[in-house]
Amino acid sequence: MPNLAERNKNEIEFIEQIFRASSSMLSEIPNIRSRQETAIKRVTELGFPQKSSEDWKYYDSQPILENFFTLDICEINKLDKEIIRKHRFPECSENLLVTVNGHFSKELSSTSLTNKNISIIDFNDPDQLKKHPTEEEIINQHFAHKINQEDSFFKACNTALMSNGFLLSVPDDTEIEETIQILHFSNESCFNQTRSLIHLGKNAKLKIIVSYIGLANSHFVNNAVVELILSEGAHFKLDKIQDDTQQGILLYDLYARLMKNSNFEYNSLDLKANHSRDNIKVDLLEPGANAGLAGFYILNKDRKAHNVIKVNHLVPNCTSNQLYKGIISDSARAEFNGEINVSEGANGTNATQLNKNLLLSNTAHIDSRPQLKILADDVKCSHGSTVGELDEDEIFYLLSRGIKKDDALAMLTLSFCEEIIQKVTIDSAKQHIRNLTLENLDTTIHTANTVHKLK
Amino acid sequence: METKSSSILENLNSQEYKYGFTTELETDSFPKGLSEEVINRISRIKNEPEFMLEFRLKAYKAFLKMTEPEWALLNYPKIDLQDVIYYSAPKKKIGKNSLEEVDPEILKTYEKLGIPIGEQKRLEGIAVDAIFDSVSVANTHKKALAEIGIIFCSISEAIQEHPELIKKYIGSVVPHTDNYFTALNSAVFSDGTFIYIPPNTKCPLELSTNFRINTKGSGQFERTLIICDDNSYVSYLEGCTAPAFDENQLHAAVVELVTLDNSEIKYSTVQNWYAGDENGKGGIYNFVTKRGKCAGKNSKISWTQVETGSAITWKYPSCILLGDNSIGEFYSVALTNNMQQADTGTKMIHIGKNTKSTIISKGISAGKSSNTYRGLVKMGERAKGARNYTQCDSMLIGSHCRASTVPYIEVEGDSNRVEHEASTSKISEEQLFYLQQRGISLESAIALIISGFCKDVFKELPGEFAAEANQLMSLKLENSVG
Repeated sequence: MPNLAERNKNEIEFIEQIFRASSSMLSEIPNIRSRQETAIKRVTELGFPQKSSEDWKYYDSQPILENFFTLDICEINKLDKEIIRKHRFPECSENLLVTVNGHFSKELSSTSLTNKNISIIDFNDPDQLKKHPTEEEIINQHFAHKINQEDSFFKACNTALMSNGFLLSVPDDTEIEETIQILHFSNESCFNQTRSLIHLGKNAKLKIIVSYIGLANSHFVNNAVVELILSEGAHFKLDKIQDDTQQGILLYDLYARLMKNSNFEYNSLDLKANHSRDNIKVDLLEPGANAGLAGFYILNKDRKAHNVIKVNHLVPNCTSNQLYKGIISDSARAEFNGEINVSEGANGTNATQLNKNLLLSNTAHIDSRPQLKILADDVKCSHGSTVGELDEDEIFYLLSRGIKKDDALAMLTLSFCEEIIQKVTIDSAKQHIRNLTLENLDTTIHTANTVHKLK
Repeated sequence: METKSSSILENLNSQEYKYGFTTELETDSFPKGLSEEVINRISRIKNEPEFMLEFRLKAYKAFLKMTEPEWALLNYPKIDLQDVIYYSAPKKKIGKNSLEEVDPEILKTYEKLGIPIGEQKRLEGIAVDAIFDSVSVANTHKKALAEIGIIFCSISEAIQEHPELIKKYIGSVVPHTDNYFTALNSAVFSDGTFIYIPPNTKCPLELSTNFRINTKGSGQFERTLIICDDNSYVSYLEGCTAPAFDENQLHAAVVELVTLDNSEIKYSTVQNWYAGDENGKGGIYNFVTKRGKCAGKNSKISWTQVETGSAITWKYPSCILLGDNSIGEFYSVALTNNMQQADTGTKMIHIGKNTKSTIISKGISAGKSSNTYRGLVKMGERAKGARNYTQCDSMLIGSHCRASTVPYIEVEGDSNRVEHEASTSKISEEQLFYLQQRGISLESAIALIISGFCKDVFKELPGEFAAEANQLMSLKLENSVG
């Protein structure tokens, strides 16, 4: 453990660097600029997250403080087109958005998208904004929402330091059939600020699959922020695949606001990266809204995954469910910290929460905190959490049918995650996730051969 | 029917607190305030050996460096520790050899409370230690128990007569540095109960302590230590009451349990401190650290608590499962009404192999109260084959109360298993309708449903206390629902 004085010194230095860097990142657009200025203020007010805070209790921020201290804000957004070809899913070849090191790249993104009634705007480009007054209004209204009350330190950092990002907006009554793929690449050793704002108009429908892909062989931090607004009756599905390198750290902040009868489905697949921290906040703001959050994490070596989720039932008759499953081996460590908040008067709430974990080694570690905070009486809320190993009866069943032990273990482990993988929209993505899962299992169930056979 | 039950809900009004009377007694009280001098004085009055004073001063030093914990879901003004009387005792000289020497006023008090310390009640099979403000005033059945080697006395007596046991075990489960309130308690504790069960002994009686805070402005800092030696068993029950004052009073207790090989302690609490009036004025601030250590193999500690009183409850009876195959249990019913706030639960720390724990927690919130379950299940890598089962259910009565469930599950190792489930609901209209159409009145129907909700916990209470607990629940909720 580093001593406290040194840690504090690093934390102060960290904030000072953000302070210095942010002055050159201020936007030319007054509405964005003023929010960035507030964000800098929030960064200093909030201070670096401390373990004494309940939400950061299990998070070790030392790697961020120590290794990633250069804090270079990367200006480079060049990438070989070949790499993009490798990572895009065939189903989405025409609907592709690309960012590199936190910079939105128009050149690498597919141009056919805008023909489909979707606006994609670099919201730090004044010329573009002038041409699109509706979108400008959306940005003014929703970008860095309530930044003066922002409670997420890294989100405030992102707002202060981001140099560009995109708004993806779907107009009222527009249904987009195809799934849009967004690729976020990191190929430099930097502290990247990835930013997006997604807005769905009334009764609009959209499906997105997002991948965070690390290419750099040295350490990097991707500090990603997504703001999401679903208008009345909108349907939105978001699959997030975390496909970073072993050197990568992903800090992912999603804030969703759901209006009347809107529906939000989110699937998080945490497959690589040195460590990741999902900070998901969903506000159910009008009756009839529904949020379904699911996640799967497979961890080996000394990797870490943190899922911090807050679902706020602010009005009556909303529903939400959370289902997170994880497989943890070697000396990896996972945290599930899910919270359901039901406000006073939010009667007719129906909320569930379930976290299931498989521990496959004696040094694997899970911290699970499914929390309920309820201030209304006419509600149905339940939560559950299980930690365990593979069921011996199930293993025995397979063995008794002549299946080898290694095969049996691999089959049972895969079927444990299949429940989440099935939720992903695109078939080729499902297969990609299965492959990555098997790769991870390789080291766990020491049966490279059988696993390959299963492929 | 909807309107009827909601009109009852609106008419929230708590049953008057039955034990809210004050006993007029001359007392010896210290002036308000906390200092090293106060600690010295307490130690001197009790004629303690040197090591106890050292223990107290060490705790006080640690306390000065600590700050009040703020993580609980509780909302109350900071406690001014300089505004508390740290020692208060009835003035009459107390001789506990015979009940005739006990102040008749005190005897009357216990009679009113229904506590059997009078001779005529001796046959009830319960041995009682009665703690009045800062001192133990009566202790029954002591002789009979001593004959079979059981030590059952106040902790002040034990410090005098069994210093070797005290020295060995005090602070061994709850170190004085554990938290703000334990440090405070270790520095200023005045009395409490001490029990030692020798090897191969099954205690033939239910042992019990009744705690009574009487003096206005005084705090009660009691210390209980129970040691159960090899192959032994004891069941212990504590009850708590206090008069109704309109200012808050502090109760910061520490309870330590130790079980050695193959032994078992069953610890039951019926906590009915004064809860304050319906506007939240007055009531006891109950900040209690209770912890048991299953030090021996195959040992077992079982906590059962019925928490109905106190303005604020901050209490987490815990088990450290150190010995292989040891078992920890926690059964809890916490009821809050009006402006009461409770943040309570348990900690199960699995260290030994094949250790098992069960947690059953039932929270009922009514009025404008707040009820939180906060529990930790921790399994280290050494705890092979550890198991835990947790169930925590909350019931909300009325639309202005709050129920929270905050579990912490920290598990390492592939042979450990944890299951946790929880639900929150209100009394269902169907259940009420079913009972009512069979001619049961609304109030009895609700009482019946609540009694069913708590059954899993009440059945763990010894003997007639289960029936009493049931009655207490209906009393507490009377006019609020049933």
